[in-house]
Amino acid sequence: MIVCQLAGFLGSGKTTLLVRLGSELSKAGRRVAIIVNEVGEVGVDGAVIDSFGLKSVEITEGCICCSLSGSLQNTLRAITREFKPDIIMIEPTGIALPSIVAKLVRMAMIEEDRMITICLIDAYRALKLFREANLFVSRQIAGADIVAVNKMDLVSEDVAKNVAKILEEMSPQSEIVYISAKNGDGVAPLVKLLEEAE
Amino acid sequence: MSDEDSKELADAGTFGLKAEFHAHPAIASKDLIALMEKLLVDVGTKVTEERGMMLGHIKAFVSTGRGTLKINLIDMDIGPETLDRLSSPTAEKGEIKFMAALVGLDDHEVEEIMEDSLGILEDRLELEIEEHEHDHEHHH
Repeated sequence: MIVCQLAGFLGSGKTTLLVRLGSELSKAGRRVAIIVNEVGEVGVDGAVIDSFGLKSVEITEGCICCSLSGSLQNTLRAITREFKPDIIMIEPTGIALPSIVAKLVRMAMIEEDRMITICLIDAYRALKLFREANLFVSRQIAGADIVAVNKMDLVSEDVAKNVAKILEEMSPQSEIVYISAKNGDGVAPLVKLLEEAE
Repeated sequence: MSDEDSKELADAGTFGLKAEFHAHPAIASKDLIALMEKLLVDVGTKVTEERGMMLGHIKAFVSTGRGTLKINLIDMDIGPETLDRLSSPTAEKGEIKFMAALVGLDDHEVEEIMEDSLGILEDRLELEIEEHEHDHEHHH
């Protein structure tokens, strides 16, 4: 069993990518379990995910990397025990710190074979985010296995190059991929990675 | 696990609400979409006026029993991004989930802005806003 975290700042396209990956992996015969976290009282993302025929467990009213860390670990254990998934996909809130979520998964003792953190960055707003929320965004990206520069359909080649340059300095150990979760461009290698990671 | 509160670190405020709606007479789906987009843009405009910019995510999900509608507002220059999966030309009733997480505002400010903007819907829809139950896990 592998655990894949799809992290990234508010509005980076996590739910869109999760629906795409979850649907592809389900079609390929994988048992996919989804945990989605919303910091507000009412969750929207769980309803969106379920409307695409996927099944999710929604954790609301806080962040799974801090106030709801116990809920995350309990949910991971329950899903592993009851559903026996091939893949658990976690969508934290847009204000979660993925490195802490990854530690919590490891400490949940669910005997995962591999934990993969994919951190999305919105290519269209990346330069604005680096300017306005640099410290927080750089903490989100730090330590990600893969940084997925999303919404490539909205930006020019020059903007993409600038974003790539900043990301390479920010998280040199991360693999950087360029995708459009909306139209599916660049997503196939991520599906393949998750299929082959078991 | 961590003494850090990520919401504080991100300096973000959040609010979400769920409401049942009824439309008398039935509302055309295209008008419902326009109304929901107007709601999100109104929130985004107020946030921009208050903070000088909008950094965050405003989103809504509408289910009518005959399809769904998902609307995101992330950037005012791009505007609302709508995924229309409504299969009926009109809607008489349904459920709206409406949520925002916004940098530079506290929870109370986000709540005030969102509730103020709901007036846009109330011109055309009868809303029953659901009292929130404090459960942390919701199984779908």
